[in-house]
Amino acid sequence: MDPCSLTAVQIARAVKARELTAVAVWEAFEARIRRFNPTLNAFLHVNPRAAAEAAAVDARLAAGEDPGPLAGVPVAVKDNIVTCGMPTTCASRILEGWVSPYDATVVKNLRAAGAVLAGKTNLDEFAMGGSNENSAFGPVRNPWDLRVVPGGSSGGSAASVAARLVPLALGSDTGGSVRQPASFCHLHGLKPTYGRVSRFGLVAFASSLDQIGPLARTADDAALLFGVLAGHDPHDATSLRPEELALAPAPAGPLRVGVVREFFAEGLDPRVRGVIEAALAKWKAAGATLVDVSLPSARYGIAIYYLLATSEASSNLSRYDGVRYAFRAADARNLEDLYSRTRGQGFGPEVKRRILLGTYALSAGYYDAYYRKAQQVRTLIRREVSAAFETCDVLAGPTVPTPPFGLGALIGDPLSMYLSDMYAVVANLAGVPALSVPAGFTQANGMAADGMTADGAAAIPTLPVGLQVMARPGHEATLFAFARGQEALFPELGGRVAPDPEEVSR
Amino acid sequence: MNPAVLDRYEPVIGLEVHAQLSTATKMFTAVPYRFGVEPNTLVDPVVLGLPGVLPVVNREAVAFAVKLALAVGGRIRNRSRFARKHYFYPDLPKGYQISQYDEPYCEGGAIDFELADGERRRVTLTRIHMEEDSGKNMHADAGANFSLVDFNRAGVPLVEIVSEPVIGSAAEAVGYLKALRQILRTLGICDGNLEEGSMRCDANVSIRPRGASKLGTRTEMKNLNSFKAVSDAIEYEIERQAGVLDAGGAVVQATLLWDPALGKTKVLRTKEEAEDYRYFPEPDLPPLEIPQAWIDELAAETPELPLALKDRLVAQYQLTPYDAEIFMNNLELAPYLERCVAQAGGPAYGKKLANWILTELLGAYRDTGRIPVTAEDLAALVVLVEGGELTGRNAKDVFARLLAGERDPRALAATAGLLGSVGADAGIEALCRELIDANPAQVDKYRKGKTNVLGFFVGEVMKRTRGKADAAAVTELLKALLT
Repeated sequence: MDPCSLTAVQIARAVKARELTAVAVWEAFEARIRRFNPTLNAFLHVNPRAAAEAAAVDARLAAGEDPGPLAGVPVAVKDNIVTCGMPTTCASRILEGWVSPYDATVVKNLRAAGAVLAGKTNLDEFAMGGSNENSAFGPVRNPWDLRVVPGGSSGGSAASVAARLVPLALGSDTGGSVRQPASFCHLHGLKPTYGRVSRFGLVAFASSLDQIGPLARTADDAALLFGVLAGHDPHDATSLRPEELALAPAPAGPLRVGVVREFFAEGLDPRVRGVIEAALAKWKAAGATLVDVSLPSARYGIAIYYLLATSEASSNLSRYDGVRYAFRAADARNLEDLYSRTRGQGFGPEVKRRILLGTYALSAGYYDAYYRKAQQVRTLIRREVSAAFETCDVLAGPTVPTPPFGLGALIGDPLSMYLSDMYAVVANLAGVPALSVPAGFTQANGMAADGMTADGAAAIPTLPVGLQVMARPGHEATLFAFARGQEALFPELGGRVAPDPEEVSR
Repeated sequence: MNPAVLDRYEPVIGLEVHAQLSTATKMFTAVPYRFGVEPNTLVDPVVLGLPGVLPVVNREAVAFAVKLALAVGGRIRNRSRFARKHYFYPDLPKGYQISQYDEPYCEGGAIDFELADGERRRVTLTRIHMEEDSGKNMHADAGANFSLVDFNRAGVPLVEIVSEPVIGSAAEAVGYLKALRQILRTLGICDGNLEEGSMRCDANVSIRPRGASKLGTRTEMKNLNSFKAVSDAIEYEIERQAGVLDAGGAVVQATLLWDPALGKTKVLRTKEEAEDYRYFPEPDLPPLEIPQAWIDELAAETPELPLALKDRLVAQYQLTPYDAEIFMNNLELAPYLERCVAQAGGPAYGKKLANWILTELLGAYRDTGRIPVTAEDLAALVVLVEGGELTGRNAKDVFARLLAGERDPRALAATAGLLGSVGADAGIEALCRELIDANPAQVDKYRKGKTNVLGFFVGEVMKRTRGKADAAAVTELLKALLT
C-alpha cells in the first residue's frame, strides 16, 4: 500500500490500526518531497525532526495510547505560521534565519492530534499575492501544469497537497489565499468563520481578515483537519468563545443554493463560467433549490479590501525594524538609516507597495476618506451577506474569475492580480466561512491565451476550476455537506490527481 | 521667577500624567514587572512583539483603571476601544503602542486639592485612557556606536490622565500632582514614584496677556521626573515665553525636553516635525466591555479619598486640619485610627486616639514602616486612661512596654500595680493631710511664700500612690489644704 495515494482519513485509520507505521508513512512522503520539491519549490524547509515525531506516534500506539485524530498524518505548515525548531520566514528576507521560540496554537493542536509536521511551505511574501511569485525564495509551480502558478498566497501548501508531497496542509486566508490556490490546484480549501481558528502564531497580515484553514484533496480530509484546528484560544482575544463555537449542523433535506448574481458578471472568464454553470445545473438536477441572490456591494469588495488589508498590514509589519530579531541591514549610519536600510532591503516590492498604500490610507487627512469609508462599506457587505442567508443555506459561485494563469503573466500587473480575489474577499470582509471545492477542468483546446504563456502559441492545457460556497458564521458543517455532495455528484473529479512532475536536479 | 511676569501674563497649564498600574502582570500578557531588575528578563514573545503574537487585555488593569475613574468622578464608557498609535523607536517593540484614542474608557472627572495656604482648587480632567508602556533605551558611553534596549518595562499597564488646561501656576501644578499621586496610592493602583518612573508627567504650557480670552501657543515639556522638575520647568517656560512675547516674537509650538542639571529646556521637535501617529482601532482586540454591574462592584471596593478623609477627621473627631493631614498622607494610619475607634467603642475616643497615634506612635511607625501596636491594645490603653483607671503618666510607661512588643495594657498595668481609682478622692485627701501633719517645717516654708515646696508634697503623694494619682488634682487639693 503506497501511503501517498491514501487520504489523510485513511492514513490515520491505518496507522491507528497498525497496518502502517507512522514512520513508514513519513518515509514515503519524504521520498516524494525529495524527488519533486526541487521542481515545485513548494517546501521552504523540511522538518528534520519529522521522522522522530513519527516514531513517537508509533511508540504511543505501541504503548496502547491514542495519538489523536491525525495519528501519523504528515501535515505541511505554511511558512507564516510559527513553529519551534523550524525557521519561519514568511518567504521574506526580513525574517530569514529567524526561529520562533513558541508554537502557534494551531501547531500545538496538530502536535496534540498526533500529526507529523512535514515542514514549512512557500508562499507569497507575508501572504501578499495570488500567484506565489512574490516569494523571496522563488516561485512555486503548479503540479497540474508546471507553466502556471499554483495560486497564492498559500501556493506552496496547495502545490504540496496536489502533488501528494503531503496529504494535508495549512494555509492562511486573508482575501482568498487558501481558496484561490485550492481552485488552481483542484483541492478543497476552507476559510473558516472569523474567530473559529486561533490566529495566535499566525504572522499577521491583516488581523481583522486573517484565518488559518485546511487544504486537502477530499472533503473528509478537510473536515478532519478543520476539526483539529478549530477551537477557542485564550491567547487570541478575537477567538470565538466556547459558547459561540458550537458547530451548527448541516440542514436536513435538499440544499438551498444561492447563486450570487454579481459573481457571474463582468470579469468572469467564460471557461470558468462554463464549468461552474455546469456544476450548478447538476446540483439542480439532483434536487437542490437554486436561488437567485444579489450582493450589490460585493463589487466594491476588492477596493475596500485593498484599503483595509493594506492599512492593517502597514501597521502589522511595523515590527520588522531590524532592532530585535532576524534581518538587520549592515552599515547603518544612524537609527533612521537602520530602519530604512533594513526595511528597504528586507521587504520585497509587493510588500512595500502594500505598506505604502496602507500608510497612506491611515494618514491624517485621508483616514476618513479611505479607512473609515471602507469600514462603512464592509458593514454594508456584512449586512447584505447576512440578508442573503435568509433565503438560502449556501452562497455559490466561482472561487476565482479565471483559470490558473501563467508564471510571469500578471507579475507586472498588480491590479489584474488583485482581481483574482474579487469573489473570495467577500467572505473575509463578512467574516463568514467559505470553501472552494473542485468543480471541474477547463477544456483542453480552444480559447485565446489571456497571458497564459509568454509565447502564447502553445496549446492551452486543461486546468482546474474551483467552486466557492459560503455559509453563515459557524456553519462550516453545511460547507462540508456541500463538498461531500459535490464529490458524490462528480465522482470522476475525485479520481483525478496531478501527474508526477518531471524531476529536476538542483 | 520674576513676579512682574505674572502681572502681565496668565499662564495656562495642562498636565498629562502617565501612571503605571501595579498589577500582578503586564497589560496584554502574563509577565510580571518590577523596577530595577536585570534587563530583558521580564519579557515573553508578546512583550517583544515577535511575529504572530496577539494581545489579551489584563482584567486587573481594567479594574484598576475603573477604580481611578470612579475616584475622580469620570464618566466610564461601558464599551470603549483600543487603538494603535504608530511610530518607530527602538524601545517600541511592535512599531505601535496599543493605546486608546477617540473612544477612551473614561472622560471628564476632576481632582480637588489644597494649596499650601489651605485654599482649595479643582482641576477638571479631559479624559483618562489605558495604554501599554514602552521599553527603555540605554545609551552606552559617548562615542559608542550602539545603544541597548531593555524591554522589561515594555507592556506595563499605564493610565494616562489628561487634565484640562486650567492650571494657573507651577504651585497649582504640583498641588494637583501630589493630590493625584495620593489618590493613586490610596486606591493601591500605583506607587507614584516619580524617580523610578511609575508616575510621569508632561506639561503643556502657554501664556496669554492678562484679560485675553484667546489661548497662546503652547509647548509641551517632557522628562519632568520630580515635583521640583515640574515646578522649575513650568516657571522656566513661563518666563521664557514671556521673554519671547515681550521681544515681539511668537512662541513656536514644540515639544521640549527639560534638563534639570542645566535648568533649561531644549527643543525635541517642532510642530512641523510632529509625527502622524496613524491611529486606527486595534483589530486584535474586540471593543472593551465594562458592564455596569462590574463598575458597581468596583465602586463598593473603592476606599475613601484623601481629601474627603481629611474633612471627615476634622468634622467627626475634631482633629486640627494639620493633624488630619498627617493621617491623609500616611495611608495606613487612617484605617488604623478607625480600627482603634471601633475597638474603643465610638467616635468619642477619636481625638484622644489620634493624639496618641500622632504623639507616641508616629515616630516608631516612620522609623520602621510598620504600625507597632495593635489597634486593640491602643484602644484598651486609651479606655483605661479615659475611664480614670490609669493616669496619663503611667499610661506612657505601659505604652512603652507595648512598643517593646508586650500585649494587653490592662494586664500590664494591673501586674505593675498601676490600676485603680485615681484623682482627688477621699483617700488622696487623707494622705495629703497626713503629709501636712508630718512635715510642719515644709508647711511653714510654703506659708512664708516658698511655693515650690508644693512640689515636695506632690512628689510624696505620687510616690505613695505609685503614680496612680492625678498630679494636677493633687496639686489643687494641696494648695487648698495648705492655704
